[in-house]
Amino acid sequence: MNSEKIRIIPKLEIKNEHLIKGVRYEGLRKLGNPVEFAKKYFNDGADQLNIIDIVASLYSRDNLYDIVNKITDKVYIPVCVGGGIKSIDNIKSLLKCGADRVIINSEALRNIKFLEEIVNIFGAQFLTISIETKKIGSEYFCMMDHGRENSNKTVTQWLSELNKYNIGEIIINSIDSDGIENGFDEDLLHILKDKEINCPKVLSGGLSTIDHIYKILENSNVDGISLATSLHFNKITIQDIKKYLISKNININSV
Amino acid sequence: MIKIGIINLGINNIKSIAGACNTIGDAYLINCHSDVEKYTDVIVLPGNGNFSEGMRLLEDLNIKDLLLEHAHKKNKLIGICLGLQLFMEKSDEAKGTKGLSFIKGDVKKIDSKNFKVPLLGWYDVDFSNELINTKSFFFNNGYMVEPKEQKLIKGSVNNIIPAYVVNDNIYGFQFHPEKSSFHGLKLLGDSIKE
Repeated sequence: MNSEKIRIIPKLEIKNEHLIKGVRYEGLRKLGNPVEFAKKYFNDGADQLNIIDIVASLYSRDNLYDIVNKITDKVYIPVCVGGGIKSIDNIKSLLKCGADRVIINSEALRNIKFLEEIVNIFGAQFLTISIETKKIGSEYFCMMDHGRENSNKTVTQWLSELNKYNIGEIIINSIDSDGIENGFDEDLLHILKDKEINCPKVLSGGLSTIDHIYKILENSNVDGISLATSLHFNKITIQDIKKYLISKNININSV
Repeated sequence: MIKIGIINLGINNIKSIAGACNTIGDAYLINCHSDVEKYTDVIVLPGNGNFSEGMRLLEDLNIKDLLLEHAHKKNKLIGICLGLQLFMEKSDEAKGTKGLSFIKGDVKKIDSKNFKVPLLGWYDVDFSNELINTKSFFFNNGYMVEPKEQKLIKGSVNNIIPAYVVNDNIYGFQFHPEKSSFHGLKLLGDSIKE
């Protein structure tokens, strides 16, 4: 089997016209212009960018379209966009702005038929599902609306349901690890290892050192790593991550 | 400045390819036959999606004859992803649909014994030209071309998937050079200028 390269994917969370970052999806700090961050990550060797509008459902979408347009003017790698996408028209507008794929969370949990609709028009490769999970008691639940609403579905239930659909990729975000810089949630990693997932998977949440990233890639069959805090605050750079992983023979795209 | 016409079939992200071509020359979009400007040096046919849908759109938009004429005059044509596949004679994806036949050979489904199908991500491409280093490029496709003449294949993934095909004035990329970072833009630029 010829395996594809493992991807390093900066995640840019956007509120109005700002790049923001929180801790466990709360206490959001404004960090600057997302277009400048996107250009920097592209120049530094990112394999893909994920852009998430965290308040898309509350305000107008024009801000997001404008930001995606400006980013795809400058960035020549795949750009995936999510946040409050509810209709085929939303998706067509994003395509016009240069988006390559869409990322869906809340609307998939509310109306799973939406996924079929997307795949029929744009193809499976066009669709990424984001799972945003929070541990409540001893169970991992899938949250909606940027962590504000509980769908009452557990991660394992939701993954079983999603396995019946044709999906390009699944991103698993640990809300409890988000912004904490303590590595990816190990209990959650165990659950994911035991669970059959028949499409590429990307992990997100808490990965803030090169060692965190290497340990994940060494021990599990993950297709991509999503990073925010560690890159936004300049704790590590994409170049340094890649240099180290190449030295450890991890199958990664050179810079 | 090189004048580049980009065919817009309306089924994929056209903005990135237009942006990439504008870093190389003077690019404009061709939505139908009458959009074509005189003295167009290079025509680019990008695309993602189904082979028969691609051929149907080329005929509906009255663009097929334009491509045949451009190729006949030995002007340069560049196909990207589905664009390259449409340059072939026929495809397993659409039995009974005839391709543009600029390159002899067919389009086949990628064998899932060797690859995760569809390809979606970065794979190393080795080039026959020693001056071009092996690098990773971004692929997004379930089918691949099989030119009858092996010597037309100028780059491939593991000698299995033809990735860069050149037949005289006809150039084809199976990957997306416009989504493959700086080295993708460079190879696209070199192919357009060569």
